[in-house]
Amino acid sequence: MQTPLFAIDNVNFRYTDGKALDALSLTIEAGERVALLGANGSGKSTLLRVLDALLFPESGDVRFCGELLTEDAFSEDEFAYAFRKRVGFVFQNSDAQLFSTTVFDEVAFGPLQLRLGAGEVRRRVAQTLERFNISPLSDRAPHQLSGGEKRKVALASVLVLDPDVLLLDEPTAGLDPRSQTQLMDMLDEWQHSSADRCAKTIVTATHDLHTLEDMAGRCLVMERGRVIASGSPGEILSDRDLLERGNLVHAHRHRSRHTHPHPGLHRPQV
Amino acid sequence: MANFVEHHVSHLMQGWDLIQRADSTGRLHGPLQSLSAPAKIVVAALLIVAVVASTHVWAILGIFVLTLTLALLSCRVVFDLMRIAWLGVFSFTGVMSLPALFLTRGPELLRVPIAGWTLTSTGLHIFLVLLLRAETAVTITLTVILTTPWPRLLAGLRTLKVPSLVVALIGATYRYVILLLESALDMMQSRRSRLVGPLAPRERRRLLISTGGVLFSKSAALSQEVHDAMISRGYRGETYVLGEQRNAPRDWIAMAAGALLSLAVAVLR
Repeated sequence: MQTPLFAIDNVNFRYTDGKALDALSLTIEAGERVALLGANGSGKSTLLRVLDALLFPESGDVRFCGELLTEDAFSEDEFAYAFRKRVGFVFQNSDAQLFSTTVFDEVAFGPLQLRLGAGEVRRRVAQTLERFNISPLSDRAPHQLSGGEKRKVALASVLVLDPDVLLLDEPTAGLDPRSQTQLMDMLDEWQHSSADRCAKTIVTATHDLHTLEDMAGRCLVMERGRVIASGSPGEILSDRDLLERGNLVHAHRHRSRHTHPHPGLHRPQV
Repeated sequence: MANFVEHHVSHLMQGWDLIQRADSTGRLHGPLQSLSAPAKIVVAALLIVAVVASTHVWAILGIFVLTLTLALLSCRVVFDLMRIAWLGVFSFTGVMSLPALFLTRGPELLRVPIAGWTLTSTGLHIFLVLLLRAETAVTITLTVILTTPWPRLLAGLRTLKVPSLVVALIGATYRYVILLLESALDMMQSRRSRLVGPLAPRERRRLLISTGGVLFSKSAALSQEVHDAMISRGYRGETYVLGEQRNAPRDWIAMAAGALLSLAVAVLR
């Protein structure tokens, strides 16, 4: 039996104001596209941070390719560099992710920290900027970019490392429909660009149900730090009770006083 | 008090906006833009030390005029940007050194009628030296900043062996102070939009303090997130940058000229 990419066993995590992950257990296989669904505060972002070893659980085990992720393990450079090279995290807040002075420096930051040679860094950055059609932004400062451009640069700054796993926190939040489509295309292109397509894994925290079928092959619905349901996007989207329970859809009241539930954006009924 | 702060945050934002626009001035073709960042930093540091060490008004004024001339030859927009800084320095250093005009003993120049204070020539000299030192140091620093693309300036500091942590802090401060100022202004405007009529001074002070507290929490959360984003991409406490800048012959000439000028200013009495 193959070792899962991520194996989370009975993990608990608590912030000062309450429990964020509650005896959570799950596995993620290599090559999967997993969507974490749930209302605000359900534990999605915390789980992503635990998967990226930015947070370590109070109790329970988190394993990556069979290796236990602990603070002790990350005190060793070799282990930390190997993990950071394989797992990339795109944060929800692009302003937090884009901390360098130019787009070029931002994209070069990761490869430089992982101590790649100067020539290799320049080659990778040029290639990545070209791939994402952001070469003209190379000398621009991040604060001069639009929301969609910031998100593209944030994604490029992670994918330049060519990680095996991509963790995305609300990647489509605040983006206009065109930018959302471009983002999806970029992710598709990245996953297809790999010689071994099965090697690329994407874990996305989202409440955008419109992009779910493009984003994921498996969905995990979270509530109060636990997984309350899992299944394919089709199965999850067809379970109205589950979506309402997870605060992913709401009942919408029309001026005509007709009330009906629907996910995400409102489309008038014909 | 709250209006005073709001007014100044707004002014700070305008100044910052000008500096952001001036990002592009470093990429223009001018005499100072053609010099390497490390050379400019070295010359600026030498001149600032000389100006601070000198007590000769005309020598300091000469450096001020020379710097301003070179800055204007490199980019005309610098005058608008420097004017903001000069006013700030004048109001701060001017107030700080004002007592020197009257408290320093020396030959009497004039007597203030009612108060009976005496303005001495020595006091005036000290006042002018203090003010000119501050204005000239700020002008030199701004000239380097406005004629050098920001990334090259940071890389130049690294070339001069400034610790990477210090350089990373300067870079992050530049990037994030604007976000905090924007947050502060948003909070103040949002509060103003919900107010009907003026508040009592006590209430205004209370709001000001609570705004400061919220801003502090926001900045702490943002800094944690930025740190996480850096760690996630392999940051382990040491920042690595691409390539060092090498000096061309003109950079060496500029540094030699700067060193000679600094020496001359420092020894002039």
